[in-house]
Amino acid sequence: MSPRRAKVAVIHAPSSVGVSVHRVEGVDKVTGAARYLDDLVVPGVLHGRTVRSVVPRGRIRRVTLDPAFDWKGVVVADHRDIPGENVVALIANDQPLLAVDEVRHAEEPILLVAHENPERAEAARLAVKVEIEPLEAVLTVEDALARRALVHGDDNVFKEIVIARGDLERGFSDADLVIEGEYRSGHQEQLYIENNAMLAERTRDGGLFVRGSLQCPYYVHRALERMFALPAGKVRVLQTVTGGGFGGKEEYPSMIGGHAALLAWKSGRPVKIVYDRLEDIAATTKRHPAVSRLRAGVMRDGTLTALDFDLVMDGGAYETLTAVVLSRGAIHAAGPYRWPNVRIRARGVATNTPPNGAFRGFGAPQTQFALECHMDRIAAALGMDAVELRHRNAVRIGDVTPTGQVLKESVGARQVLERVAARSKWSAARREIERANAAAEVAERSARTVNGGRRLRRGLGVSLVYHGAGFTGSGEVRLASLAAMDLDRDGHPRVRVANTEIGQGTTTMFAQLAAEALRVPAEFVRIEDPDTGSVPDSGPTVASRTCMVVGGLVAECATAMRERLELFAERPIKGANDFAHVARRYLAARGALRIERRYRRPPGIEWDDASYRGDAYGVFSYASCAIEVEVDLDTCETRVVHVQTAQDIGKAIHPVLAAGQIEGGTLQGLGWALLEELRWKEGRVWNHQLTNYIIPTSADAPPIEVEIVEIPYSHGPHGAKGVGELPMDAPAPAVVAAIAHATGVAVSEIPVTPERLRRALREAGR
Amino acid sequence: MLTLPAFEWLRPANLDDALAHLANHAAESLVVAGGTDAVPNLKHRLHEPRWIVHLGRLDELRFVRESEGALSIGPLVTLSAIARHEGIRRDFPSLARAASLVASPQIRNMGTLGGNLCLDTRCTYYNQTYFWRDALGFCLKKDGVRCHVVPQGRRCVAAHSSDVSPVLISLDASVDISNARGSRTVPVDEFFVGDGVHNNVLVPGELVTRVTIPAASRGLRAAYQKLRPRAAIDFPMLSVAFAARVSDGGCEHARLVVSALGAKPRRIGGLDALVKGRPLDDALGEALAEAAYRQCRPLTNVAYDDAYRHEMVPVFVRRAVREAGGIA
Ligand SMILES: Cc1cc2nc3c(=O)[nH]c(=O)nc-3n(C[C@H](O)[C@H](O)[C@H](O)COP(=O)(O)OP(=O)(O)OC[C@H]3O[C@@H](n4cnc5c(N)ncnc54)[C@H](O)[C@@H]3O)c2cc1C
Ligand code: SF4
Repeated sequence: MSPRRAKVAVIHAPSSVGVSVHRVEGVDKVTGAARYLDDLVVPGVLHGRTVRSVVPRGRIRRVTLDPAFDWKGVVVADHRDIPGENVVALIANDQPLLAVDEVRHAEEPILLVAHENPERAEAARLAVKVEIEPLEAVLTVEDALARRALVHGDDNVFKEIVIARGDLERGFSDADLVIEGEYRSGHQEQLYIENNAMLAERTRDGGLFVRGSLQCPYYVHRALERMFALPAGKVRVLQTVTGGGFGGKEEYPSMIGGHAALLAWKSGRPVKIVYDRLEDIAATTKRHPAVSRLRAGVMRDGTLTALDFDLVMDGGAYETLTAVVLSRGAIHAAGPYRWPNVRIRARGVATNTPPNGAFRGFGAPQTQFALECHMDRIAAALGMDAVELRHRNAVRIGDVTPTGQVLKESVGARQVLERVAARSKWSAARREIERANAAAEVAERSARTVNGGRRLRRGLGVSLVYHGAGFTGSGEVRLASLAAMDLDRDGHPRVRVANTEIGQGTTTMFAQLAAEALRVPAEFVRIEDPDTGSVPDSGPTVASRTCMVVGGLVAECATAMRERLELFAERPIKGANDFAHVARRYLAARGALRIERRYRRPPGIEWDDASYRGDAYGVFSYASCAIEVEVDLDTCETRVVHVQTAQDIGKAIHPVLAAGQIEGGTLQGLGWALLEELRWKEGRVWNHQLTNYIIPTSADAPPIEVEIVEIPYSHGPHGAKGVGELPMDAPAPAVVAAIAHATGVAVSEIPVTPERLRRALREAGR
Repeated sequence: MLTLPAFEWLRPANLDDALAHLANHAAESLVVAGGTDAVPNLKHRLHEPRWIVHLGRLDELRFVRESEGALSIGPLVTLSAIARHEGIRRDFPSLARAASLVASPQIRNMGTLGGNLCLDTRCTYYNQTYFWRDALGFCLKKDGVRCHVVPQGRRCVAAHSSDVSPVLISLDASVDISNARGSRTVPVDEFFVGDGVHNNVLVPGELVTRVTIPAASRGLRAAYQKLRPRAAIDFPMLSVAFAARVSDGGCEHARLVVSALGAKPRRIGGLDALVKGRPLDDALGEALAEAAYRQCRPLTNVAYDDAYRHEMVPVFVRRAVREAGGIA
């Protein structure tokens, strides 16, 4: 080693941030050493099963245990066994853990059974007979608004939000053109690889220990306190290795965890509940379906003047997270554009379907899908290029969002659009495609054969979206997340946070941020398991907040820890060995060292919940997609040929993981756009298997080219903003635009299945 | 979790042992080759056998023999092996292609020709767990008395979903069927019956022991086309197999088989008169497409729009004719 390099190494350990280090848990997962909940062997465990409603709405008349069945060894629990409140505590505390005398959706849990032998438990479930007197059910948004039956309050509306800015009348009178449209998107299932699964045990001190596949240990913790009337200290919740979440393990683990805990409470035995895929798809949360009606005013030159956006989301049978999903959807409804005059009215309605919940994007994909489709309609009406219309109106620093938020920094809207236009060679590619499509049409007319007799058309579409990172409004202030760091006895630093690794790389990212500040390699840092018995509440792993908010706190803890140790050593610390050495000396001399940092609102951020005005998010991330498709006019099948995307995420702490989020989110968006559709039969999910609820396979995945744009945010660690959800917002509208480019027909509902596209082409006379 | 029911596992060492067991216990036994169809169905409690008779050790049923007179294939040959077999690819490309379009690489490595021929029929009301079938009301095919697809019907119309069978019919293949007392040979065209409950002629105690494609089928212009929602995994929503003998004087004879619509593959009738002496071109494709459209009636047995599937029949027939005719 040359002296010079040695000297550099002394002052700065090799940097971690911005480098794609090995995943902390990667080897365990690849070798199969990682133990998921169902892999855990617990002596004496019982297997729990859930008896559910098979009708969407009704009064429970009678529950009988088949007298012919051998009930020996079967534990049975219903709502009367709940020691505390019969509620799954969340935001709106309206969902019972077990139905009492009415059911409000199919698959609503009514009773629980458990047995040592899973086969017997299943047999016991089938031996419970539930008689329900059916009541008229509300199954669609339209039925809810028409009050076909009243299922919530006096109007079936859980929540209404109005966001207004400027003068809508004026905006429309300034416009040369007013364009209207209605757009729809349906349910989507998160489809994590590992189904929901929880394991509960009573502890010796009369408390509960609950483990499982989950995103938010403290959500489960608080829900259990309420259900079991236990003080916080008597409940412990631990996240086990989790095979994916996508929002689907944000709130539902409180339900299934509560069920397992209730059976454990009653039996005194450990109880495991592991859903199979059918139960998971049929009973757990989905993305909210949405219907958006838009009216937009625009001037001839493409300047947007007014937007009137009416949004209705289907919340399902209980409010659960609907108010906040609705709020994020509404705040993002105007997209990353300058609208001098806006009115957004959003309603979340009640239906007798299983409650919809958190899913990557949290309402923003639905509204931006509608808005982006509408932007294309505006461009078409003006005869203007889709990129040009967007570029002209895209937000810049100093612009104001519908809630009145002034965008002060890190605004990458135009950059991501420019990058995508450049990389896709937008104008040239569009022209080339149009020429080829026209040539194919001419050839077909003259009965010449091209493309092997297939009537193929290509199309290229674009989209531009943004996504606020962190909780909405004063959410982060209310969460007041706390992160901690301390030292193990051998001198290794240990990060203590409640945020979970669900496949996205959280632990690796935390290790990198801590390592960077400590000036040690990432693998030197240890990350404590998310266990409410040993980590502080650093908030849920949702809302693209984990890196930006919690990562920031971890970096602060690490910096403070290094400073403390250097102060103690009275010299700079040089790398991992030296760190461990100093740390051990510190522990011997002073005892434990624990550093904590709590979230503080960055200066200049204000939000008013009552008026829905102010800084909805600290910062937004931005993304643009250019998607090329090939449509077969005979079968109406759409194949995605290629995706170009550029995403401004502030800073990629781990470029490979960040790109992985973008690729995965893009594919999930393509599935939503083209394939994924729940089919219902009398209020029950009909296609609850992987053979009939279909998502893209690797053979369906197009090449996805990702460019990460880094426009730093001053309050994110190393400039980082959110990346988890953003990629979900962009693909669907670009697909619809590409199909419109290919066929001349703009569909307004996703998924664009061949059946649906065929109908649309027919209606358009093609 | 979806679990397997309890059963006893038998692995006979040779065909005679297998047939001997089945001679006495066929009703309580389920034969399993690759298990890719049988295992999911067991988990759904569509079968609850006392014995599983696994054919895996019957090496005598694992062969591909090319001879002057015919090509014969043992039922245990996997779909991947068929898809890559050089002789099959050369002489019967539509068969290799159909095999290559089944499910996914992993499933093709396990799934066998015999299993594909004897694949259970599929229906949205049937391929469900016991609990769901119970809640929906059991149907004719298992445990019930009514059909939900055709409520007045007296027969199950669950969809025949094998990719390979329509091609075998188009190539005039036959199957050898054996039981403990002997064997018989039936054309694949007569192997299937129009009853979704049990859609083939096998009677309890019988196994498929060989599939034979006559040498005469070697020179056929043949094609296979499959409609599926994704680029992998999915069963056909519609499948079309076509084969024609073409000489200088045009088509002499043709077979067109459309499947995945009803309980058995449908051979489109009246073809010989239609094709005789005509070149294999788009005009002929159009005529065949029209005939197929008129003769096929998709049902709501699978989760895809029946009107759409009907409209796709002529599209896929045209494509098959083009593929067979080598029309670019
Ligand atoms: C996800 C998935 C997707 C699939 N997609 C397709 C698809 O696209 N196209 C398609 O055609 N199939 C598909 N299949 C079904 C199946 O994989 C194939 O048909 C395969 O060829 C079945 O062969 P096997 O050896 O696994 O059959 P097994 O499951 O072993 O047996 C199937 C049936 O055949 C009987 N059987 C097997 N061998 C014999 C014999 N020699 N004599 C008498 N009876 C016998 C069995 O008793 C059983 O009833 C799919 C399956 C899955 C799980
Ligand atoms: S076609 Fe009818 S009888 Fe057959 S499986 Fe379907 S519902 Fe049952």
